[in-house]
Amino acid sequence: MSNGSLHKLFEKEIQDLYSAETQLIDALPKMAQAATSAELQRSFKDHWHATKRQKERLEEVARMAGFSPEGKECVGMQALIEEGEEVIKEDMPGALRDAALIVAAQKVEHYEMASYGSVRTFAQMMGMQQEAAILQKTLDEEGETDHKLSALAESHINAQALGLSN
Amino acid sequence: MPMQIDSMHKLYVDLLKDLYNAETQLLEALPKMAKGAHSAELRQGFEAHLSQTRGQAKRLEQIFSGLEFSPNGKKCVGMEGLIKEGEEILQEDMQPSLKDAALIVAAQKVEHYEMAGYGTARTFAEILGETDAIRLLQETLDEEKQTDDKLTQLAQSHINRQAIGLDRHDSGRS
Repeated sequence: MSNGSLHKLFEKEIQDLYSAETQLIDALPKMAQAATSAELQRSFKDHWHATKRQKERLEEVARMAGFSPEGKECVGMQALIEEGEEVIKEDMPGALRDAALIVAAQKVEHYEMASYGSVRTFAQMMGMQQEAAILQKTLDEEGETDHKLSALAESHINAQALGLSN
Repeated sequence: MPMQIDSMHKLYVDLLKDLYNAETQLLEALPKMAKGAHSAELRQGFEAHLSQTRGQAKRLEQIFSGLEFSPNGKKCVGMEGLIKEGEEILQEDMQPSLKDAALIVAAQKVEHYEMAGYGTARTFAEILGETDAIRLLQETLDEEKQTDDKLTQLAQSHINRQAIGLDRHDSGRS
């Protein structure tokens, strides 16, 4: 396989995502622990389980496409997780911290949506329909998680955070 | 001294500062990405987004002019990481059309980061009743979405096809 092939770029992006998901599996329990709302805690825990499945899907895609999922460090996700850690370290009232944690989590979701969207498109263009279908499944899940986080923020966390300042 | 975040209003200001720093970093990065792009269309896309980004930074300044805080004073770690990813691509030795495809991936990550940031900032502005800010933030949010769609179209229309063309060429040789 030449360095100059789209397949190589696909491989690199899958490895990038694999590193991203691995980092996220470490980070989500810390975010769950830092959350004060029971609902947000549960949402982070659910997403932790989903993330483990998503990582397995990447292993499957890599196996099908004939490369190792390992070998890259995702600097983008590293930075996003660092932002989340800054929130956790900051001294904030509970409801505000929850609102800030949701902001950090939505940035992570959007990062993944952009990446999964790209690799799905690459797979489609190379005629790898099965791989594209697997990646689409995760892409849909990330979109749903983003919506759930918005709903959670809008339903009561933001209102509680607002109540603090009044 | 870092601002103590003890109210929803300050969390909102903190997010706006983060976005302002992100746009400032992007203003420096986009000319490099334009220079690194091979396709004229992608280069023009980055150049157009540069002038749009200037407008977006101005909108944030406009919002800050009505607040008791300065837009400066925060380093956006997230954008720093995303730009680092873009720089890695620029340094890499790749076929031109592949480099374009990779630059589009990096740019779409940036757009999505901003969409998440502006989406939340707009929601915060809504619940805080910051009417002017809601409109300004929504305008930028719409632009970021349009840019993301344009990048997808650009990737699908010819850049990825060229990259596949290379793929066939390479496999024919090996």
